Amino acid sequence: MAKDRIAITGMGIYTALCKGVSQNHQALHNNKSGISDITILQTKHQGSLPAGEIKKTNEELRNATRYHSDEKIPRSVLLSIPAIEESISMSGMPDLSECDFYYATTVGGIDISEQLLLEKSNGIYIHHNEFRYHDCGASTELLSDYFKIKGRQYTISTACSSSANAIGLAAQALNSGITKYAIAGGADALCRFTINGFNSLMILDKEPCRPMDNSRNGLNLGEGAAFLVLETEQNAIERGANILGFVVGFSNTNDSHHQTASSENGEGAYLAIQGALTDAQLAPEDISYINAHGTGTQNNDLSEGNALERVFDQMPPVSSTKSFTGHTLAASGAIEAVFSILSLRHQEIYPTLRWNKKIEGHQFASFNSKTDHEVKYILSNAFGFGGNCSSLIFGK
Amino acid sequence: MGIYIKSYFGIDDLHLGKEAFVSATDQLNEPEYEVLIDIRSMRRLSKVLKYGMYSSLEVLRQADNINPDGIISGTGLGCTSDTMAFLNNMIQREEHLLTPTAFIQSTHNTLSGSLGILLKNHGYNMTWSHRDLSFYSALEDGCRRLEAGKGNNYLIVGADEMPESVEDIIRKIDHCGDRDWSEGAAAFMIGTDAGDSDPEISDHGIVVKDKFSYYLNNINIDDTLIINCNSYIGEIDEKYRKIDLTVIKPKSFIDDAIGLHLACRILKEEDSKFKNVICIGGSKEQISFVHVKIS
Repeated sequence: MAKDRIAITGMGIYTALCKGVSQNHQALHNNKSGISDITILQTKHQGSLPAGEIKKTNEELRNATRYHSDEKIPRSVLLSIPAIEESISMSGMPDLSECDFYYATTVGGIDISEQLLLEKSNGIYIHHNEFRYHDCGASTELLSDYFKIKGRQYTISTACSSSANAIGLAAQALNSGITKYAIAGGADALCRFTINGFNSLMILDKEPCRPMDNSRNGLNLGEGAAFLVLETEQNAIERGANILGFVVGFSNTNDSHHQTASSENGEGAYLAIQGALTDAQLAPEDISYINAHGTGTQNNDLSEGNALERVFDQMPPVSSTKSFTGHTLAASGAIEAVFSILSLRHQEIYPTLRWNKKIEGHQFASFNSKTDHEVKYILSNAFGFGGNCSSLIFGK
Repeated sequence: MGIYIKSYFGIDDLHLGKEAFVSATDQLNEPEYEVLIDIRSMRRLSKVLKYGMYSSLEVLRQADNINPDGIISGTGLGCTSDTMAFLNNMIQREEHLLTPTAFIQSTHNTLSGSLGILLKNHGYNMTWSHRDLSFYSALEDGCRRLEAGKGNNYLIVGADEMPESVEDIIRKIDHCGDRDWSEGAAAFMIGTDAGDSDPEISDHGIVVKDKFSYYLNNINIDDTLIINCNSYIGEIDEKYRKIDLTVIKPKSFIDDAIGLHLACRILKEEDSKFKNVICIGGSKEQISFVHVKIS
């Protein structure tokens, strides 16, 4: 990808930290955590499992959109709307006639389905039509319709690496010249399905998570949305756009080990990181900071750290910003892409909140407060169920 | 550089008769799964995984078991029976004491991931899930990677399931009238080196309707067959030879994979008069097409 750099000219974000890029930057800059008790989502786990929850009801979110008050719109779509709006407006893209859309989600409309099934089990009549936004593609079509995106629409669903893949794939499509612009990113809302699913796997921490720490005890789920506007560097320069950063490398591999667990030596992660470096024509020593996948589970952080130690002789600073947002599943790759661009623009790196002690067996440590640091290239990892491993490299 | 379909296999509800006469079968044409899938693991597999895995393994077997550079799947609904099983269990047990099995198998990329694990394949692994464009997105992804010189062979698979328990609630997921839903899978090994009489993917794309009419105006109608895989294209001119899956069979989101599988079979028929088949799929806004030919 290094030959024809793909410029990032717009970004938008909505996380438990806040709505908007500058507000998220303020929170990161000030070590402010978005992890709290669950109060909006109606679940039995309120009060026992903390999460990166956005403190707005669906009704409040919907009232800020053009949707009618009687429409049941997936929460992920409602979270996406302000983030996409922000990214388009920041990019100054002239129109959306030559813009492709790469949307990533795992939840899709399951939040609506689970509510309907609950009502149905209580004897309430539910018409089939109410399930019409259940599938992932339905959300993509809703958002394309909402913004009148005229280009091709794609939906990627590879569990927790989904939006990292959306960004990498959009960058590759721009490189092949088939489209002029792309909006790429993803969203996942908290729902009972994912909370209970991860809880049944016994990998949720009952306290605010401590990724990359020796005492880590699981992840906190989160919710959010983030999107980038991408175009070739040449196009951005020609139209005088403000370039925020570049996508310079991408690779996706398979760990080929287990449906939900990572291999001990992190083979898939190792290959993805190596692949992204090759794609970017960079050496490990060119990387100034690593935004780790760093979920906070025993398995992920050990495996990812092992993979990093195999690639980097001299470890650059590593942190996990999931300690701010929780693990936002399909949205995490895009949210961490926005955080990476903020690091590049402000020449500061964001910490792993609550980090205290390095993981036994690892040579490298993380850090627990914001640090000014020269940042040129950032490696951002995203791994998912099914052994899906993706690495992106962002540059100035 | 040409891209060829080196092997293909499908599990569908179609019967191909003489002279490309196609009719629907009452039931899915299912293989003896235990020939290729371990019987102990089969009990855990949902239908979408069973269809998708068997089709993929058969395609690999036909292609001399080469380990592909990547595995790319397209699924409109994903692992819907496991999703619904976990949801129903969660509601019944009021969010207490749940077992994770159905949740683990509920993610959309379970098929690609399972194939990656089974084949010890560390290559590219992707899953696309965009309604009627799911399989096309996967095929396009594979073609783009081959065109960019990223490897020589990709396994592309489209798979969907519609269990009765699920059909009842999500059959109106699409605004396609009152068509019944079906299920199935089709897998293809695509690569850059051609074997004897391998169908070639000579063109493909997502276009708007006008552009597609223009494309059709420039083909040789004498040896071309059009397979309409969905209902959004509208009327196709009488002068073209065509098979309309939307009339013949119940709908699935991966009917373009079923259609491409049919196209390969027709092109490979011994006395086939068709040298070109154009499969049309897509959504309401956008038409996807895959043009396969045989020389």
